[in-house]
Amino acid sequence: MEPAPQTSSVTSRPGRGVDASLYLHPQTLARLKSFELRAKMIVEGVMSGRHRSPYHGFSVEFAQHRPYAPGDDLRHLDWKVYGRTDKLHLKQYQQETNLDLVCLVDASGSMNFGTRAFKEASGVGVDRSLDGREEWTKFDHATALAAAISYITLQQNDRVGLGVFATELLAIVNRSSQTGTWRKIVETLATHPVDAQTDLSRVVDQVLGQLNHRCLIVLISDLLADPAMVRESLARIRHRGHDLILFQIVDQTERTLAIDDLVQFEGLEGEETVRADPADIRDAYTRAFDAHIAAVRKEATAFGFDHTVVSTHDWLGPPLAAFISRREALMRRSRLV
Amino acid sequence: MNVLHPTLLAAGLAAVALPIVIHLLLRRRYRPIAWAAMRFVQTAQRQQRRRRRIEQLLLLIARCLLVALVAIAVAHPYLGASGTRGETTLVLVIDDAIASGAINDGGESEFEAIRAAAIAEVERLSASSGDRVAVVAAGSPPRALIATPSSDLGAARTLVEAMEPIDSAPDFEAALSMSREAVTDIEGGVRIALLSGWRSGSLQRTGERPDAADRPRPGVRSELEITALPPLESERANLRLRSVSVPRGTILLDDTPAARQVVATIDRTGPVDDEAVGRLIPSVGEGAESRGTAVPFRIPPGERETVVSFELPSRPSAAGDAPLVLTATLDAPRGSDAIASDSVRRVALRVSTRVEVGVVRARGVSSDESAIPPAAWIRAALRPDDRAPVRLRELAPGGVDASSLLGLDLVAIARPDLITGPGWESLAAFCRTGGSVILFAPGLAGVNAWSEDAGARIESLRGIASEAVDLGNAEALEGGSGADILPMLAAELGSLGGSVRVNRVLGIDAEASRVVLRTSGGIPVVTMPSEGLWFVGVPASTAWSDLPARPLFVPLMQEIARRSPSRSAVLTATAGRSLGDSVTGGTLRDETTGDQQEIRTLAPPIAGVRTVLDAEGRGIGLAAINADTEGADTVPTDRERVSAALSPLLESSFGETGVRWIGDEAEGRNDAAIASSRLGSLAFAAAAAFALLESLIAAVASRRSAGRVGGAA
Repeated sequence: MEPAPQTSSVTSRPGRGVDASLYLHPQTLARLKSFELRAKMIVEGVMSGRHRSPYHGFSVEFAQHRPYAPGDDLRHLDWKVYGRTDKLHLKQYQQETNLDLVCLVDASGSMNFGTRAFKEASGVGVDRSLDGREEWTKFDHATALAAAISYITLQQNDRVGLGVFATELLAIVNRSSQTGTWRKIVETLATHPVDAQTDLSRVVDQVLGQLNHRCLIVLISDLLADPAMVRESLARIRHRGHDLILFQIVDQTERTLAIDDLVQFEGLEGEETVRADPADIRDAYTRAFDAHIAAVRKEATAFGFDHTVVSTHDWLGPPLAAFISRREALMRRSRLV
Repeated sequence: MNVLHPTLLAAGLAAVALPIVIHLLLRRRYRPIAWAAMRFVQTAQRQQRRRRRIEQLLLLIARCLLVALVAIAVAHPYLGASGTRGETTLVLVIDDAIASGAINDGGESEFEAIRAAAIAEVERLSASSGDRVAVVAAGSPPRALIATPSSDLGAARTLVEAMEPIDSAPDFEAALSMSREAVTDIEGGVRIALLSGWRSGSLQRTGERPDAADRPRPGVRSELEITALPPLESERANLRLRSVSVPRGTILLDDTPAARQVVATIDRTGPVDDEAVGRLIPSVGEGAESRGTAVPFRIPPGERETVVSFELPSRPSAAGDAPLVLTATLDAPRGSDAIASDSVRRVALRVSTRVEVGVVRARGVSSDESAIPPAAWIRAALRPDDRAPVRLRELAPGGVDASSLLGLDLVAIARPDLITGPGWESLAAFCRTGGSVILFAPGLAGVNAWSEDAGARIESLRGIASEAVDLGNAEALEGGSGADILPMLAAELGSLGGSVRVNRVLGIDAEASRVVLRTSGGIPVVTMPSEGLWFVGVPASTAWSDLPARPLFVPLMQEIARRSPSRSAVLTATAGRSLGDSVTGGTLRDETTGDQQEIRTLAPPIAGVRTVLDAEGRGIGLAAINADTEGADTVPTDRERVSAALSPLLESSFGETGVRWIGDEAEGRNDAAIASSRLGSLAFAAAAAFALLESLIAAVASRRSAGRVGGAA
């Protein structure tokens, strides 16, 4: 992710202060501290750490033996095993690497939707956001999640980068494990969502063009785009060898369409307005919504990526903890193979 | 289907707009909301739009039908013809003719029932619904009392209440024709209500116009309904003074008692089981002193008619030649005489001291000096002795003009071939003013060119042949079809004419003339081509026949002369019937009421004496109008007979023959009320079903959405 502009495109509000507590609820951080954030894959890093490299070589930690095959480098033969068993085996080692985490946060117009009370969601008794909103939007939830993941990653001395996007990357924080990185991330996350649509393919192309190491990418978005576009983007990520965790942010009302009045739906990304009785379309709407989530999940699973639906009405802790726990289990199973 | 309360129905149907308006208003109440997942909203909207529209349409239909059915139920629907429901034009054809005035046992006129039925028909209408009414009185001559249908139902009712029976028979054909004209340009439902007691007298004139069935039939109106009161079934005994006959229409001072003998025919209708007795009271002129001696009469059981005779009550005074009216009145118990107006009969009589006759003499024309000239025969016949009330005046053929004819009642012309053109003009004017002319064949051997001159001025003379017919063998005379013109002589024409021998005759078109005498071979000899104009086809000499020399000639000329006094116009006619050509112009004035009526083709419908006025308003005579006794037949009829009589008239006027009887209609209306109740209940039930259906649809829709919201919450 080098070289990268230093928050040059961040559209922070003038005079707006950065308050991490708005994004990292103390309870969330407290629960997250008990878990280790581990990448699904051991990426190649420039820093040594607790993460394991998938590159088996002449590193510090023995990994396994394997039968010799013609063409193997004879330097890696374990002569002790040959002496005892009269069979040729090669020694393999696991090399510990650092985990580079890149958080991609969707700041498109659709993320500016929310029905949960800000006061309830913030957890610190603040009635409204700094810009006066009383609703806790999906973007608020996404920034809180991104900050939490970044915080935990930095706590493990791994490098963390951030990208805020809509039709393109709007703001970038370069990967770094320095102590000031988290503050930069929080400042960048204060970017207000815009009304533009999401162009995930373009954003993924931009991000991948800046990554020269295999990274763990955390994509936080409502993923209302066409599943075909999502699949195309995921395929590119998989093709470049990166790992990906998908956090799909949904609003509870958005998912259930629990509205009683006749409403005129006005699209946040410039779509044509629709007049409807929610009662009439609720069934079809929820079916379509659930089908979309299932389609996204199916695409992610097909590429070996994790997909988690995060509701804005839920605390961030439980889904994050459950995800990290499951991820850890998967890593362990992977090492035993 | 119709309704009893169209206003309620209209209001209810207008209320159908309410659910539509509410539906439209509700559709506009959309709360704007910013939304992220528009893809799914659009997808769901596309999927649900059709179902939602159908659901909303069903709801709207259910609600509208609910309101409409309630409106229909409240409006009391019923099945059947339109009748007087809704925007209806009612034409009341009211039989106010003489038979409707029959008095029932309670002393009440049967017309009261007709009037009540008419008022009931009017009260069934509703001006607010646009109903209109026209009224036609069927008594002859029919009168369109309200010719153009009017929505002023109160005025129509007042008009009907003021109606009274008249003295003529009904003329339903003309009345129906008027009814058709009244509704010609009317759209919507039309009801023709024929209101009559339908006694035999009411149907007397229904078959008078045999050509009615041959007329072009009008198109049938689909919304036309013809109703009629059912015939009255009660028996009514009625005495009628059918005729009062005076030998001559002119009373001369020297008339013999035989010439003053009056014959009255009395008959009765209705039951004949009992004896009918009464008396006939004659009177002349006005005042008790003119009343004659009452003549008793008796109609034995089982018989219908009797004839009584009496002498003219008083001898006419010699003071003047004013006409007078002989009035004969039946006096009988009320139970035997249901109709009063047909118990009086009037006869207008001329009164004259003498007859002024002008004899046109052709001096020096005859070549046979020894023969008696025709004028002499005529003079001798007209004034056989000095006592004859005939005064003669000689006229020269070339001197026949208006001044010479002044004061004459009769002009006898033995040589019409000598009359000049201006002379014929004067004679034509003389005839038009009531004078009489008797023409004799001039006895020419050749062509009678004069007949062309005469026919050119007097149309009725066009039928005179140009050449005489030689009979070969002499033929005797006998009475013709018009012998009754001379009633005093009619009975003797056969015996007196049998002695006459005719060898040659100048003929005349027998079809256009009333033949008093004809030859045994059928050739007319003495005819009356038109009223007051006589033509004798043989000369007033013995050249072609021996008529002047036979006993027939004197009474013949005497009767013609006594029938001729023209200085007074008298007219005896039947109410509502044709006046004939006896009076061709002028005005009739009712001296009692002062009402004046121009003399037309039909006599006035009210019996009585009228004064005949000339064009200048001077009184020139009397007209006696009698009740139409044929229309006073009180024998009840039945529905079949009435239907059969009305069918051709209805077909001629409306192209339809079906009649619905009002009594049946009332029953039908009761049935309709019951059916209305059932229909109303059905409508309520249907409304309830639609209310339930509407609730179910709404509940299903709302439960689905409400359940989702609850579940999601």
